[in-house]
Amino acid sequence: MSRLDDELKIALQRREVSPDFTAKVMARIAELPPVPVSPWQKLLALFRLPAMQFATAATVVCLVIGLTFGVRYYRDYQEMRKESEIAKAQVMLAFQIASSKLNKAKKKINQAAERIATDDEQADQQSGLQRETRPTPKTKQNGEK
Amino acid sequence: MKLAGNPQTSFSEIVREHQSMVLSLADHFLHDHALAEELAQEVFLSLYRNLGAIKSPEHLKFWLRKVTSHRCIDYLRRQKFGLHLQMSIDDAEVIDAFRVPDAMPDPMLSQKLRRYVAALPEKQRMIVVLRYQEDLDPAEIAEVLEMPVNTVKSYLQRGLATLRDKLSRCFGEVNV
Repeated sequence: MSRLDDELKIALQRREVSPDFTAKVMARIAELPPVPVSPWQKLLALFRLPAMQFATAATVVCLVIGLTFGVRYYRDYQEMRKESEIAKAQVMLAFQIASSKLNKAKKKINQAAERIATDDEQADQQSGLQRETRPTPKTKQNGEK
Repeated sequence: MKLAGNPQTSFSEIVREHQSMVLSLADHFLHDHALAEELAQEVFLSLYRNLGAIKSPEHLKFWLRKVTSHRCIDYLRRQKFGLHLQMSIDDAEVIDAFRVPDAMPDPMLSQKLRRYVAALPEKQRMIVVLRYQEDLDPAEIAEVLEMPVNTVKSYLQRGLATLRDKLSRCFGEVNV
């Protein structure tokens, strides 16, 4: 630190103030016109009352608790809904699979039934032909006679 | 900031605690005791109106320094008072208003220094006063005067160079 710094510090020391300075300031403050209070400020002043402060604090606490539970309930509800959507999708898939299997089985049964029907028809036709070509037992008996 | 107990009594305590700082800032800057006292009173009235915005004792100190500095600079700008402060070296009348309580090693040099400081351009002057009266570093001064730190440093250097130059011319080859 140079000598100039030291000298400046000494030269620019804080001054002593006249003893009536504070009284003068306070007198001027007393002369100040009352600050007009807006309705908004009046409303705010209400909240400075201890009872209102307590009520405000209680409301805030209730709101916080309500919000916490509300958020949790909403999350649970969302989760449940998601799970039900997944279950629904799974059930639908199961139904689709079962339906396709049933369709296949039905088709096979139908095919088998058709095959049996055609076999029966063929068998009937064959037995009909045999009956026509075979001599009646009566004529045979007559010939033998 | 909330005043404990009677607001009037508490505010008068605040005034008592900080009046020396505010008045000295204004006095060293304006070099007119009556004017400095008037301005200091205005600063405290403004504080009374804005007490709700003050957050802590440190903030209060910062606020007072800032408002006093700005009001001093604004006052000079409005009144074009700067011309009156370009005093002649023989102007001893104003110097009598500057009585510093402690005994000084070189009263002559201190008197001259105060006068030379009062003759500096307004921003340099306020920076020098804040630096040496309030012992603030350039960063703190920059915050109070709302200007870049480098500008503060450059103003401070310029101000000190001017003071050194004037003192050398006055006292001859004095090692300052």
